[in-house]
Amino acid sequence: MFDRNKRETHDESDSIPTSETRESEERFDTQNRAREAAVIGPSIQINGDLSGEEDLIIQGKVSGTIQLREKSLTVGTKGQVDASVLAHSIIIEGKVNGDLCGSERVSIRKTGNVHGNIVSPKVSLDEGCRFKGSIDMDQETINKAFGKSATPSVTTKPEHASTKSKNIEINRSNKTGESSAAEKKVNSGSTG
Amino acid sequence: MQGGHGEPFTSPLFYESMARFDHTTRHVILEPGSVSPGILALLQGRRCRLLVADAALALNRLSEKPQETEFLLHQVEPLINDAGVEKIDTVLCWDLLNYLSLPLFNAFTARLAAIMAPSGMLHAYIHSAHNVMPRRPQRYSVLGDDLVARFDHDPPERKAPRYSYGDLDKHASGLRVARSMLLRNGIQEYLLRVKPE
Repeated sequence: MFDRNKRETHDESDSIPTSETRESEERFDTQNRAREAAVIGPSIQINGDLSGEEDLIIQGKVSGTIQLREKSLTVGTKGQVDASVLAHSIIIEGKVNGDLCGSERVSIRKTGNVHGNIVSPKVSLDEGCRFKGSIDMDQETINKAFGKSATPSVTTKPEHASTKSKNIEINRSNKTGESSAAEKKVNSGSTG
Repeated sequence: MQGGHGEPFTSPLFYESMARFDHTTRHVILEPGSVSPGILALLQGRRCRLLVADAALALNRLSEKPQETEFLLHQVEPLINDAGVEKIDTVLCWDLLNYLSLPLFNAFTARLAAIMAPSGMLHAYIHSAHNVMPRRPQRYSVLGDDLVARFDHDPPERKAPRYSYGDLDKHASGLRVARSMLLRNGIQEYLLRVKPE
């Protein structure tokens, strides 16, 4: 059930909604965050490793690894991520196929569809979201994920292979026709 | 069942199965169906891992075709598969068993027994007071340590097999019924344990 490659597809009508009650103050306002975060737009596709020190919103397609240790990642409703993610907080409104490590929290919103394993001290699942995988809230596992061995492998690449924005770095393993647009978007520090 | 939409009810055996948890020992919980709303709030702060197989609909479909148990075992394995990482301490099998044919029931419980810890428990809710049930499994929501609510989104339109204590004891491969309680709303609550080898 946790083999991501063997994911089973369901019709929308097959969805069994799930939810978790949350305190209202824990809610993030996507629009407010968008003013300060870097944005990967809907037409952008990135294959490779992505790391940085600012909040990031993904509305396009990203595959590889994503590491924002001190910052938050939002996968918007149009976003499709096939990657291991490590971040301070993670909000999923689109599709994710991969493991999510959130040192603070992981929230899957009602439009979110996640197939993977979550490691975080706080996890919330909104009514209507889809989730298949495991949720580990054991502090020991969380420490391990953020300390020694279980982090996604975001390696240091040579200068020529990376594109640096103010705070976001993309290490491309497969440059697509659209990646240059992605670089522009990220480099410009777009506020979406 | 039809009259109890969303009404909270006390679930003593669910409480009992979760009361085994302490804050020092790691526990692994499996939901073969979709994740139950409220369960994460209950588990917050505990040393635990929750596995969500989201396999209720796939199992329901498997159940519709008459098949040999041996064949079904092969079909169930990838649906309920944690790659043997950790043994399961508790299975929350809510609104699922009634949707399985007896051969699939056999295969499903055999699979669970294979991946459960020797001290593992399976907690189940089964329709027993009504002859009909919704077309597909519905949801339960955890409201507290021993408080649960059932949500029927679909109308009852399918005959309910109403598996009994005897049925479970006979057809649950690798498991045995440890306790059972009939709740006021007509839901029969069960605790099953792994049979010693």
